Amino acid sequence: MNENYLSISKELSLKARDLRKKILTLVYSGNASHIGSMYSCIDILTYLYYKRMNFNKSNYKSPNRDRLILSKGHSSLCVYTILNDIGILPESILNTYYQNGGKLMAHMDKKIDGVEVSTGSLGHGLSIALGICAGNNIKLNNSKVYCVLGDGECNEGSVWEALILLSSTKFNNLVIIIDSNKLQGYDYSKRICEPCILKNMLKGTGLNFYDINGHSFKEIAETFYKIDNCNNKKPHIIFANTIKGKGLNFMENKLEWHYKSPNKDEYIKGINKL
Amino acid sequence: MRKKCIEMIEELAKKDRDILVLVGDLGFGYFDNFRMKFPNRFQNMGISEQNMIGVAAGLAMTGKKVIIYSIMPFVTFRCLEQIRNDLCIPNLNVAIIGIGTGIMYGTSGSTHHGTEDIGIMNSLPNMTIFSPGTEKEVEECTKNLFKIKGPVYMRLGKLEQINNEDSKYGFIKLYGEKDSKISLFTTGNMLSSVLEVKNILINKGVSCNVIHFHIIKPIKDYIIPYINTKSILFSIEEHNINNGFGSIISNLLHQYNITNKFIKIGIEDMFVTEIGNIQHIRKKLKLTPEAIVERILNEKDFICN
Repeated sequence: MNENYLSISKELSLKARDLRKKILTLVYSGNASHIGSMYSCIDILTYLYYKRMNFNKSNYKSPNRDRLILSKGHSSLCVYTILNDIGILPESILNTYYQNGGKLMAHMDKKIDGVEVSTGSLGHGLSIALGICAGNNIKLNNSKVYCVLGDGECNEGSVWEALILLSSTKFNNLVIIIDSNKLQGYDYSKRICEPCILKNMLKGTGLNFYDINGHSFKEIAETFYKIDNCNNKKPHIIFANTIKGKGLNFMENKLEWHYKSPNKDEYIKGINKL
Repeated sequence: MRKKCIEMIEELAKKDRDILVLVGDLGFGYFDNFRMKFPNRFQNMGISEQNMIGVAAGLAMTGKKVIIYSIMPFVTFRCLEQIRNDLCIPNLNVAIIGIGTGIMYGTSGSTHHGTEDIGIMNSLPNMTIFSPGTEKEVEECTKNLFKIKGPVYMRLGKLEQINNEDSKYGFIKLYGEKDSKISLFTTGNMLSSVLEVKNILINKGVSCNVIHFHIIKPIKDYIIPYINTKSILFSIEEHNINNGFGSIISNLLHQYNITNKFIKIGIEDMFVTEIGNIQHIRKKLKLTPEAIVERILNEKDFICN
């Protein structure tokens, strides 16, 4: 098993590195924001799309596909880059990210093939994910639904409305992943909601709870192994401890990279470093 | 009105297995039967309107036809952004039924009044607004909730029975003669009062008709032939006149360059703080048939010209 994790880890690290490069290039050319938030969740998304989800070029419109809802919609470029890499989103469209008259905006847009839900305003995705699970449940469709939220996003009351109702459901095909980079729009999260308090509040919902390093493919893989072997019928919450800007040390854990776009020097430095 | 609406939902649900009902922790005495008949197609979502809209969006994305039922201000204002982003932007087939138009919940106070919803919901692209005024219209509107693509908002109030009613879905209803000195535009639960206004005026020898809209978005524009170039026009609503039904009519008149005298009657730009039942509050607001007649006759100089 350990050897298996090791090879998965190696393969996915290379994939995530390529995706980070692509993201850096597109953020640079579009003069875009939010690269820090993208880098904190790209490893999780890489694992989901390349190792986990039943979702590919030939089935992405099938009702039985697994669905990913990126509730922290400002990290959309991660998904756009992956959709391009797996052959759903053409390069010509990807390159219009943040461009005048382009097809890709800063947030998630359902009009784009492979995107499940338009998000952007925070705190919407989890309720929609719950609705999809409920709809699938009626149709005896047990495909999986993954919902990725930011820890800052958990400031939104609507997230808790969804969690409250989820505590009474049996949707064990729902996996909620909290990308806890501990840095939100204008402050460290601890100044608004101390991360360990957030963790306890999430645990308090009674859902299956996993506290992991969100950049370790080994830990992510082990967690999904546990989820697959879980006997109860409750939804799952993975609390992924991450680092905002992970991958480029000059961006890591710095508030400004929620907004800043790299200049030419930073871009070259970043590409070489990656 | 609610009772009729829920009966119709039951009819719809019998024919269409995709229909589901979500309620915001209410419906006691109204939904008991539905809940018993369709236990797997009814869900109490608790006191969480934002979540309720999002869940409805997710259900609609799997092909379900979702009816959301709650008290009007809670299911519109509280979750406006969810309605806008999760229902209107993707144009999903979800029906929102808001109970308590105007001051139906009179004794409950301003928090429970539905006196600003038309303006707010009218601002949302892809949204359709139903505002039935009779039982027949409730029936017709409910039947058509899912025949339209996209979200529908249906506002329901209390109403007195109107007999011999032959409203048809999608058709503006004219009560009275086309060629009248006064035209009264109205919507929803003001209809019976406005019909009374018409009768009082006719008894006083002033010719008058009533034009009732059960769909207010998209607004139909074939009212134009009903408008006599010499008549004076009034809109009458139990809603803030700043941005309500009258404003929609006013826009329409402007668009067609109709320059008749037009007066909006409704609730001035304020919250209603008077406590009491509808009749009591309408008296205070000068929205009883008698008060409306008085208001109209004060404009009679225009009528004689």
